[in-house]
Amino acid sequence: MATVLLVEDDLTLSKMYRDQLEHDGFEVITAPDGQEGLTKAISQKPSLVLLDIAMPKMDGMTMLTELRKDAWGQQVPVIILTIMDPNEKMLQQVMALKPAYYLFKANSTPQDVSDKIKEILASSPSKPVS
Amino acid sequence: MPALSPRVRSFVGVAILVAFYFFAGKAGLTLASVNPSATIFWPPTGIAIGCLLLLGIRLWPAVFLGAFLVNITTAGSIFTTLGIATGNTLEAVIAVTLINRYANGRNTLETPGNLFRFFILAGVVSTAVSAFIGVSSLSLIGFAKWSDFQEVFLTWWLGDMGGALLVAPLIISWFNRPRFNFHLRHISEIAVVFFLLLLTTFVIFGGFLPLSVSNYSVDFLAVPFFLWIAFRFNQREVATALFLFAEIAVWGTLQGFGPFAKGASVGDSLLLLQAYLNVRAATMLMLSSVVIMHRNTEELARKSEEQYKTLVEMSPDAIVVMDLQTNITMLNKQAVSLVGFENAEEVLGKTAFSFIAPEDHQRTRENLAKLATVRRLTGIEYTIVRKDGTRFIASTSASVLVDQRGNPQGIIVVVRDVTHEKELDRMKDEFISVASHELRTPMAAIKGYLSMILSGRYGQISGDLQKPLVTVALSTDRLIQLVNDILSISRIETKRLKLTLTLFPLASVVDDIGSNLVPILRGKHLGFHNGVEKNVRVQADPQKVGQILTNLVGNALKFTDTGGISIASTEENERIVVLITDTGVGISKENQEKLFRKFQQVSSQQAGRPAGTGLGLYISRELAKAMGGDVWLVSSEVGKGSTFAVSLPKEGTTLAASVRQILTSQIHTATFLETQHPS
Repeated sequence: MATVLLVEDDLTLSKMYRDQLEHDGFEVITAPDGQEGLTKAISQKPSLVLLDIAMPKMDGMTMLTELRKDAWGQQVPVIILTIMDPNEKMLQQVMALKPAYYLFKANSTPQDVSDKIKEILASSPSKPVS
Repeated sequence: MPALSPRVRSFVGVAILVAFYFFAGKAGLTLASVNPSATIFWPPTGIAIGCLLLLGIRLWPAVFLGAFLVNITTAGSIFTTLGIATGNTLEAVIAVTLINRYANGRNTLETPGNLFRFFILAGVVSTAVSAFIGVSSLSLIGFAKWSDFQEVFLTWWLGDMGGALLVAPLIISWFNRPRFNFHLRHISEIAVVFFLLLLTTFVIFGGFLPLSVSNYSVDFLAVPFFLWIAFRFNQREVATALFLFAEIAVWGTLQGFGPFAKGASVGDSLLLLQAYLNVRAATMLMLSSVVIMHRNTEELARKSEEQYKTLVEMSPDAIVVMDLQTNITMLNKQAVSLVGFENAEEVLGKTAFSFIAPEDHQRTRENLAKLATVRRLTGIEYTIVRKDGTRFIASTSASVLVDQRGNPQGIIVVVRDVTHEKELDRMKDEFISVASHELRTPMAAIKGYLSMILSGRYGQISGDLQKPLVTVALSTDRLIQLVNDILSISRIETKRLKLTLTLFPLASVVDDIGSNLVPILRGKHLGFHNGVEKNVRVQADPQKVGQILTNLVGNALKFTDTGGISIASTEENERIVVLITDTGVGISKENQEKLFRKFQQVSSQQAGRPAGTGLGLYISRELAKAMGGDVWLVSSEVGKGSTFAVSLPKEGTTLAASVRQILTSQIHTATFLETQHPS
């Protein structure tokens, strides 16, 4: 079964997405910030990374930038899961790092997130979709 | 005289005028030489003109009565007396009517132009009427020979003219400006100059010295004193001096003294003298009015300058005046301290460029060039460098100063430090941004868990629980939308909207929206038709256009129960217009007016429908406007449905180009992607 790395600082949200994903049969690894997320990503090489942007210690954008420097990290599909407004500058900068997709937490249900992960993993099991 | 009724006052006025007129007439007639009724100096003309001008033409019967009494007790018959009195009355009435109409009425002496008209209308025209009627009356009855008509007419005319030019100004100037300056210096100077003038007049006309006895032409000796009076005082003093001078001159000439007592007869001498006095009166009064006008202009200019100086110093904003080379020529205290200096002298003469940050120099030069044609530029921001090198952002308004011919002479700039305002704006934006993040996170959790509960993820939901849970879910969506909307409005209103202008086909955005709405459309059994032309492309931010169309189509869905929604496009004035038509409940006329206001919802139609935030249409319209388009209601009928329209600049039009230029340079932060939108 596919492994998803969920990098999310809000514990309630983290538990919520984990519940949904585990229910849908994914193995879920969680990380509360970008630093731990980056370490876990490189050491455990999940099938997909679900990444928040605004986080303590290391934010999602920095983590993604670092991740893309890694040979394996260049390939892994990343879904940005954010609370930000599409108007925000930072989000536009993140888009330049070619995530597979982005979802707004406030507009998507955990089911939507899970469906999107399945869709992306099905269409390109090893390469990021842009 | 507050105790007297207007009628009594008029009667007293008339009686005084009649008496005054009568005695002045009698005095004047003592100078009659060519005919007992025709005198070389007729003060009553001036009394009549002066009094009727100040008190009103309705007092003319007093003039008539006075003239009648003077003449009936002098010579001639009832007929000639009536004729002469009529002529004298007409003279005053004509003079006053014309002065009121063409020479500024009782203020006729105050400007050279009006004074000139006074000379012509009162001095020349009206007096000729009186002389003509008077002499004709005498000649008709035989009191004067027709062969003497010309001589008697001339005497009469000049005599009346003397009254009009020497006596009327005296009355008008004293009664029109009755306040007198009682300062010792003023009175002393008047006393001195009048003493010297009178002394000189006696030297010329008095017969004390050989000069006047030998009839030397030394009348010019009085000129310096007239000039003195004209330059230092007002017309009241000039008119008084002229009157006194004239009285002494007439008296002296009658005694055979002075430059004019050389004529073949006393009549000839007086005629010459009168001509001289009339010209002297006209020139001196004219000079006086020019001096007064100049004095008033100076006073006005001084006052105006004083006002502006005070305004400039009192202004909370910095004000800087510079020449066309941007060298600072004047600045207020606020401007001096704004750039960190102590004294204006340290800043004067420096160029404005020495205070503008180097990176803004090029833009400053461009704006200066622009200013030359538009003459005024407001709200331009520059980074200003203080004396100590620290910087701040200033908002400036510049205006070109021009001379009378419209040639630019300098530039006046109002400068305001907006650092604080900018900081407040930034803090407000940051607060709203942080607050919305903080609000959204728990809302996302509520929404997420609710959806999982509703999907049965945590066990079967009883029928009783299903309905309230759905309501909670809908309210959560509404709350999320509200936070999003407030953030949008904050961005729009602080002009911090970020637009990414792209050229893209509208039909694809409409298709996306349609496919997102499929579940709802199916649930309500509604039709959806996308009739937008496939090849039509607009210049806009696709994400914002999606937001606008989602809002409009969402509204249509919310208020439509049968039929469906169709979307079409047309072209109009370089814009593509998208029409969203529904077969819903429609909007009443009164609600149509409120549609685009903030927090307005069509209340009567809310029952049983999902509630909105009341911000959607307002935001949609503002977003469309920010991109050079608009949103409006085309038509709506209760029970039949509504049609809303969105317009956006069409690709490749002049409008699109200018919107792009404005957006990328000024209002919102906008970027333009030349590449095609991937949709």
